[in-house]
Amino acid sequence: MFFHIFISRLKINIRNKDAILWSLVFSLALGTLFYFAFNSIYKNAKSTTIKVAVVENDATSGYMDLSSSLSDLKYEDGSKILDIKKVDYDAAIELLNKDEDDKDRVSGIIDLRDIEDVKLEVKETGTAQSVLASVVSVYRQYISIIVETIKKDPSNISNVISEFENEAASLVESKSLSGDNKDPYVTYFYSLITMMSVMACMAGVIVPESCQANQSDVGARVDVSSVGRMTYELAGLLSAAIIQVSITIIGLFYYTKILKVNFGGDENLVFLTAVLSTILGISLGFFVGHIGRLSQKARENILMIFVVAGGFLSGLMVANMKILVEMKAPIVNRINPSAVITDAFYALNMYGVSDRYYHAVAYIVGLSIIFITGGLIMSRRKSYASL
Amino acid sequence: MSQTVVEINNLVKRYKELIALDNFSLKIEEGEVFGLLGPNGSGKTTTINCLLSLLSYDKGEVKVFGEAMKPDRLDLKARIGVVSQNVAVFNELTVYENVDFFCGLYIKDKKLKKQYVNEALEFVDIMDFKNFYPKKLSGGLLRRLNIACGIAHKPELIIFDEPTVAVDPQSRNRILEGIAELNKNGATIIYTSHYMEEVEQLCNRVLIMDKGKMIACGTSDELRRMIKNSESVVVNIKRLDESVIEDIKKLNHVYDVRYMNDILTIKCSGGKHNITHVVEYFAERQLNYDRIYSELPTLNDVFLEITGKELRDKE
Ligand SMILES: Nc1ncnc2c1ncn2[C@@H]1O[C@H](COP(=O)(O)OP(=O)(O)OP(=O)(O)O)[C@@H](O)[C@H]1O
Ligand SMILES: [Mg+2]
Repeated sequence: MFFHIFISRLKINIRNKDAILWSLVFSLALGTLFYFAFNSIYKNAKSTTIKVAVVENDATSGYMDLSSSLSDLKYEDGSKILDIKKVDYDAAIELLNKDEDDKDRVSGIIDLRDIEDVKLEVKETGTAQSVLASVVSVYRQYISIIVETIKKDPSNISNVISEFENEAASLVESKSLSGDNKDPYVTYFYSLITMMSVMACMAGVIVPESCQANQSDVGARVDVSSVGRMTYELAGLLSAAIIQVSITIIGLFYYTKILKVNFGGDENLVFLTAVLSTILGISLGFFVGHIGRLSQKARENILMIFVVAGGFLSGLMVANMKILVEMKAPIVNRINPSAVITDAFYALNMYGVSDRYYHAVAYIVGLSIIFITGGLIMSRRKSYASL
Repeated sequence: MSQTVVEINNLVKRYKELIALDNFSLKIEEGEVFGLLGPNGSGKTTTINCLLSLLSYDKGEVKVFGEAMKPDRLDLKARIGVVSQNVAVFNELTVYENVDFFCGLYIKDKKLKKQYVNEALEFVDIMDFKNFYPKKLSGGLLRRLNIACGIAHKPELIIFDEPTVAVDPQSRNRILEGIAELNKNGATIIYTSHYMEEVEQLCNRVLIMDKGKMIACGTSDELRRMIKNSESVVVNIKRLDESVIEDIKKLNHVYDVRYMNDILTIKCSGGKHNITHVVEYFAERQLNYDRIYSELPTLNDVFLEITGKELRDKE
């Protein structure tokens, strides 16, 4: 029975070519647009050597040549990541404040005067600064190991330093390619995937339509049949999910294989996150499809609010919006599907496979389960006051 | 002893202010073809939907196969087939796939399902169109597909809600013959319509309803006997004197005379030679007429006499 309904619903959904075509065109066309609009910016930023001022004091520079390990960092293609100028702090500030086209201008200052507290100073945000930030964050961790090693086993110091160089280089590589949240290029693709995922709600909202007597004529026919409501709905949900997930995967393949967008980190996890997000979108639609006595149009309008307003609040259109929401009304970030999905991609992008990522994914899955269960509870067989 | 298939007692259904069913009751026995006759908006579809538990109601009870009908009585629903007033099929599925889909909601066994689907397609005679999509079908064919979807699982009780609306006479006859055949094969039928000719031709028993109330119920003959009209004499005649109408009114058994659009309708109660009396009168007055004939009362007359209005607008 389940299989019979599932196959039929799948046929119906596939033959609804318009909806599928639209989603695909939307996903591929926007991806292409982003590619042409932002790719060149990103290419230039890819393996440029970043000018940076390093401030040391006599104590630290005497300790060991800390800055030389920084200047030895290299991209995969062999070019240097950092072009270091050793100056004192005042001179460094001067270099930082120079005009943009001045060849002596530096993107940031790495302050090594206090070895226990390495500081990074930047004036603006961009790819170069984000690369610096990642270098410094790795550098900080290793400094403490270096200090420790020097105390206990000075002979091992060169090993520790080369380990640091590998680690920093690989991190920088992925940073400069994927960027962190401030690199517009990949962020645009994450936003696109998020939006596409939430848009899948439009496929979820029509699942109940064909088995609810008050929503359609075929709904009445299915309603008077002897098939269980839950069986019917779950079969419909599964068929909708398969189609939407396929659309998502086709889009992702296009981004990664044709446009060669490098999402950084584990690509499989990007796929997994996108698939789960799509299911969350469908679940949202499924839930709204069961609320009260609304016309299909009204339901679609509610969902558009989720897509657009939810997208806005999660910072898809205005950066920092999500942080603002987090401060004023954190609950919105917990239940807004766009925010929950953005969270997962952000975590994956910034921290890789980490607790924060697992947490975000758990939220996506949990919210999906809540929406589907809620929908199923509302869908239990009943008589309607009016058809 | 025949089983009661449907029993509705004192059903009240309100849509906000409007009372769609007003203490409505009916009882249908196994093997009957039961006609539910009423003008547009009289509550036929509402009755059907309450019977199926699609609609909630304010008062009363509905029993199907002797048991209380509830939305979750899937076992009872399995024994019912519904041919809805609105065509309810998937536009994305072909004729065959549609019937297969709905049949598959009842029949699990694949081989049996296939057999049933083919039988249903044969039955409504749309085998030639089995790979067509509904959008490509004419209105009549679409209606037939709608019927096939409702009956493929061979239900014991089949409900037809105005299945012949907007169907050409040829298709309509096929549909009516088909319904009679389903009944012969053992199904109990509920048939709603506002075409009294169909109901008279098809149904053993008829319930006439108006404004959510039953106004009469019985076999066609019983219903006709309930009214005093037993014969209408109709004369096609151009120009007629007012005095003629007065004279005819005075004839034996005549209780109502109307003259409209060159047609004189004389309603008579009982009596054997009504038409002869009229013919004689016209001969006496030396009046010429085009045609004169006698009509037996129809359910329309029954309706007209009880409610004072026509069952449906003249087309
Ligand atoms: N959903 C609804 N909301 C409000 N009133 C309704 C609704 N459905 C039907 N009605 C009203 O209830 C009454 C009975 O309608 P119903 O559809 O049962 O009539 P019907 O006999 O089937 O008519 P038809 O021959 O046109 O199909 C009508 O007056 C109709 O306007
Ligand atoms: Mg009706």
